[in-house]
Amino acid sequence: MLRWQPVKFVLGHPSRGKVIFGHPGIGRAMLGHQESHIAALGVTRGFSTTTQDSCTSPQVQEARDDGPAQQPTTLKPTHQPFVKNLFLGKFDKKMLTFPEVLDRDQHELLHEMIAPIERFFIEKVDGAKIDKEASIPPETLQGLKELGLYGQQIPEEYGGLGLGATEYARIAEILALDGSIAVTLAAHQAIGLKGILITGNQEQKKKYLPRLACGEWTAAFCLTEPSSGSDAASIQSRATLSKDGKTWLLNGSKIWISNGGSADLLTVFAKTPEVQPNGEVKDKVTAFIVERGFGGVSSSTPEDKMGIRGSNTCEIHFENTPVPIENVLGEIGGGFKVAMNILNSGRFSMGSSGAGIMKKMIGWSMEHAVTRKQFGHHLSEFALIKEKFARMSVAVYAMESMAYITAGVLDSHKNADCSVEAAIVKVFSSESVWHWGSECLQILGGMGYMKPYPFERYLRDARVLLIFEGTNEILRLFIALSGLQHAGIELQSLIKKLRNPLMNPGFILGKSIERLRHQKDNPKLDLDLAGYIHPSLKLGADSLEYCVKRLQYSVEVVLARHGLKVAEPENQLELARLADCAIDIYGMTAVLSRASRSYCIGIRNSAHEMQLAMMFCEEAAARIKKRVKDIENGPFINSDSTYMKIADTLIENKGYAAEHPLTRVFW
Amino acid sequence: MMASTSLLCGRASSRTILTFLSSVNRTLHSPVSTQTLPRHIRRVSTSSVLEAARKEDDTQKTSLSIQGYFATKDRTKETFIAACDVFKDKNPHLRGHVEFVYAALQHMEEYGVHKDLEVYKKLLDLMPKGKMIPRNVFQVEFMHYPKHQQCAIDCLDQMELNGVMPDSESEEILMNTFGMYSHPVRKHRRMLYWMPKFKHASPWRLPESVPNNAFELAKLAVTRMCTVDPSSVISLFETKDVEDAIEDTWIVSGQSPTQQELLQNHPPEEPIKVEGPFRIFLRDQCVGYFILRAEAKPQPPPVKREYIDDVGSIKLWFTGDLEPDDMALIKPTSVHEQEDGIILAICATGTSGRDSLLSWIRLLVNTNPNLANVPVLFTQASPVGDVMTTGQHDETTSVKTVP
Repeated sequence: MLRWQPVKFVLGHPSRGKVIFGHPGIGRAMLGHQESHIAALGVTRGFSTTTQDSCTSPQVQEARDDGPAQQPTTLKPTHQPFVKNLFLGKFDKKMLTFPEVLDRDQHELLHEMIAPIERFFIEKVDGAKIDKEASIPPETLQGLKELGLYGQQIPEEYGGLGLGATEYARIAEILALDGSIAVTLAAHQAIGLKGILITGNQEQKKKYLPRLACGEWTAAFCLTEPSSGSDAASIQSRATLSKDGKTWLLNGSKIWISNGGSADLLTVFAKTPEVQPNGEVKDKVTAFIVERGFGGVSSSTPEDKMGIRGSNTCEIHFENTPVPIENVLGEIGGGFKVAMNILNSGRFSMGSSGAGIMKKMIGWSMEHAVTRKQFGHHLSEFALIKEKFARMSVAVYAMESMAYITAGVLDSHKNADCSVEAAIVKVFSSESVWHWGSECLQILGGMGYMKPYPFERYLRDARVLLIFEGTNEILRLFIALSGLQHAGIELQSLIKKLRNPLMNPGFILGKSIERLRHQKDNPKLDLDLAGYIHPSLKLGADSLEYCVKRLQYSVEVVLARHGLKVAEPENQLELARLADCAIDIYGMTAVLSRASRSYCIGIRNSAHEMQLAMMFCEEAAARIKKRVKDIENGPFINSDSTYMKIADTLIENKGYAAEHPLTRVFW
Repeated sequence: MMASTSLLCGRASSRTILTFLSSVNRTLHSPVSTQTLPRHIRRVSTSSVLEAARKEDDTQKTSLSIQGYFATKDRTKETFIAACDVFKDKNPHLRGHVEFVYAALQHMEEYGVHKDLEVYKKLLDLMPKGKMIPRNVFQVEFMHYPKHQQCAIDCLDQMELNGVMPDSESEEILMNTFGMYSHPVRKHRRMLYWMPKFKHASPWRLPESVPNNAFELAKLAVTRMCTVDPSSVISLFETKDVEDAIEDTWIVSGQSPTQQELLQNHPPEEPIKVEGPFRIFLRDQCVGYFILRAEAKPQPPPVKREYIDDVGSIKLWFTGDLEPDDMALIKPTSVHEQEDGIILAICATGTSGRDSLLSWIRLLVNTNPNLANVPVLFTQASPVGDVMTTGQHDETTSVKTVP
C-alpha cells in the first residue's frame, strides 16, 4: 500500500514553479489514490477531471504544512449520500476510487493488533463448548477485555482503542470466528454504548466511557418490547418525571436484550409525555442511560436460542427505576432519532464479519474438496462443486468491497450519511452468509451436518443475521423509501405532471419521446463511468451505467404510479424490487472500484479480482434488467397481483387453502 | 503519446541528447528490457557513454575528489549516508551533484546498500529542488536539464535492477526536483505500475529476504513443489527417530494421498529409484532435493471415437451398471504420472547423504506399507569409506547400491 504523507505536489504550469501544498487531511485517500492510480494509467484526462471534481472541497491550500500532528477530523470534506442520489440518476464518481484511509503507521498498528487477537481465537476460544453450554466462560471474556476489544471505538482519552470504522471492520473479521463472542461485543459497543459516544455530553462520556472501555461494565441496548420489534416508535415503556423534577421513573419491560443478564449499563428507550405547542400532550421516545445499580432493574433467565447460544439474551423489567435527569441521552423526545443513528452506525461491520467467517469456511471446504475422492475424482474436479466455490467467492468479494468502501467513506468524510449504504451492506451480507454458509455445509455433505464439525454451528449462528439489527424486509423498505423520499423532493413537480397526464398533455408528449429509449430497454449512457476505472473493466462500467439509468427510470415509474401511497403496505413488492436494484448497484460500484485499484497498484491475483468483479457485474445487471422490466410491467403482468390474491385466500382459510389431494367429492 | 513524439523532436535539438537517443529510448520506453540485458551492457548504454561525454568536460579532477567521499575502509550504510551528508555540507549549492550521484551508484554494492530504498531516496534528494522544474511548454517538451534528468533515470534504473520498489516519498522528491511531466517522474510512475505486477507474477510468493537457514529453505522448496497436487502433505522428520541411523539430521518430505495410492498399487517386483540431488532455486538460494521415482507406465489407449459416439449405452452408477473396474478405464492419470516416470514422493534432507535418504525411505514405510516390499535403488554415488549394508538389520527393506 502506498504511503501517504502531506502532499507537496507541483503543478508544472504557469504558476512559475510555485510549490502548492495539498492538505494532509482532506480527501487524501481520494486524491492520493486518484493521482497515483489514475495517473499511473497515463490518463491525464482522468487526472485533471478528478482534480476538477475535488476542487469543490478546499483541497489545495497555500503553504499550510502543519505536518502529521494536525487533527484531520475538522478538515474532512462532506459527502453527498451516494445511494440516495442514485435514485435520481446522479452517480458520485468519487466512489469509483476505492478509499485508502489508513496511513502507514495506522496500517502497521492495525496489523500488529490483529495477530494476538487471531491467536487468542484459535487457541483459547472453544466455540463448540460455548455453543453446548450456552455461555461464554469468564476467562474468555477476561481475555477479550485484556485485548482491549471492549472499547474499540471509544476514544483513547477515555481508555479505548480509538479505532476508526475501517479498523473496526477489520477486527470484526476475526471476531466472527465465534458468533456468540461477536454478538456479545457488538451488543456492548456497536449499539450498547454507541449512544453515549454519538449523543452523550461530556459529563456522561467522562462518567461512563472509561469503565465501559476496559470492560468493567458491559452495556446493552434496550429497545425491543413484546409488542414492538420492527416498529420502534410504538414502544410502551413509560418514563414519568418525578415531583421534584430531578428523576425520571422508568416502567416497562424489554425482551430479547443481548447482554441483558450481565449488563451494568443499559441504553433504554421509553415514552415520555411532551406538551405540544397547541397544548396537546403527545408521547415521544426518549433515550436514557440506566445503570443496573439504580434499582428496580430485573432480568429473567437467558433465552434458549437456535444460534449464538453463548450470547446472553433475556428480558429486562423496569419497575419505577429512578433515572436522574442528567442521564437523558440527547434531547427529551429525541430518542427515536438517537435509536436510528445508533443502529445505522454499526451495521456496515456485518459485511466484513460475514466476509471473515466465509473466507475461513471456504478454506475449510476447499481443503475437504481437494482431499476427498469420490468416483475416482477429487470433489474439486466436479463442476457443480467448482461452481459453488466460484459463486461463493464472488459474493464474498462483493461483501468485503461494500463493507470497506462504506467504512472508508465514513472515515474520510465528516458526518457522511451512509445509513442507506450500511443497510445495503447488512442485507446483502446476511443473506449471502446464510446462503453460502449452507452451500459450504453442502460441500462437506454428511460431515457438514455433524456437530463435531463447525459448519452447522456457524450456519445456526448466521441465521440471526437476517433478523437482528433491523430485519432484512424492514431494511429493504428503508432503502427504497429513503431513496424515494430523497428523490421525491426533486421530482415533485415532475411526478405531479406525470400523475395528471390529461392536464399536462404537452409535457407528457415530450416525456414519452424522452422515454422511448427506456421503453426499448436502451437508455442513453452519458455518465462515462468507464473513464474512472481501469479500461479492462469497461464492460462492467457500462453495465453499471445501464443499471443506474434503469433505476432512475423505475423510480419515476413507481412514484408516478403510486404517488404518496408508495409507502402503503400493498406496494411493498415494488419497493423491494427498487431496494434490490440499489443493493446490486452499490455492490457493482464497490467491486469495480476495488478491482480497478487492485489491478492498477499491482496487488497479487488482481486479474482474479477483475474476474470476480466482472462476474458480479454481469449477474447483477441481468437481475436488475429483469426487476426493472417487472416494475415497468406492473402488478398484473409480473404476477404480483396473483400472489396477493393467493395470500388473501390463505388468510381467509387461516392457513394452506388447497384441499388435500386425496379428497373425494363423489364416489 | 503526443508528449513522447514531441520529445523525440526535442531531443534531436539538443546535442548531448542526440548521443543518448537510442539508449534513452531503451531506458524510457522499455524499462523491463534493461533488466534482461546483462549489467555491463546496460552500463555501456547509459552511464559509460555519459562518462565518455563527460571526459570532454574535464571531469577527471572532480572524479578524484568525488572518489574521496567513498574512500573509507568502513563500508556500511551509516558511512554511506554520512558521505552524502558531508557532500551536502561541503557544497551548500550542491555543485557536482551529478558526478557524486554516479559515483555513489557505482559504490553502492560495496557498501551493501544497493537494495535499500532509504539510501536511494537520500541520493535523489541531493538534487536541487525547484530549479530544474520547467516553466514553459518548450522546456517541458525539450527535456529540461537533460544531464540531471538522465542521472535521476540512471539512479532509478539501478533501483529497478536491484528490485527496489520506490514509494510515494521518492515520487514527491522527483516531482519537486524535475516537475510533474519530466522523464524521471514518468519512469518512476511506470516502475510503480509494473514492478508490483512482476513481484506478484509468481504464484509461489517468497519473502523479501529469503531465509538463510537450510531447514526453512527446504520447507519452502518442498511446499512449493508439492503445490502441483493440492492434497499433498508435507511431513517433517528427524533421522533420530529411525533406529540405526548414522546421520542426525532433519528430513522434509512431501507426498500426497494420490502418490500413496500409486505406491500401494505398485507391483512388488519392479524396483523404484531414489534420484537426486536436483537443484531448485529460491531467489538466490539453492536447495537440493531427491525424488522417489518409479518407471513410467504406458499410457492407456485413448478411448475410441465410435465408443464415445454410441449414446445408446450410457452407463450410470445409479443403476449399478458401472462397475469399479469400468471406472479404471476412464480413470484419469494423476499429475504425478509423467512420461519420464511416476513421482512417488520428494524430500530434502539436511545432509543430502545416503544415510539420510535411507532413513527417509524407512520413515515413508510408516505411511506406505507396500514400500517395504518394493526394492528401492539409490542412484547416488557411494560415499568414500565403508559401505553400510542394511539388509542384516531389516530384512523387509532390500537395498541395492548402484555405482
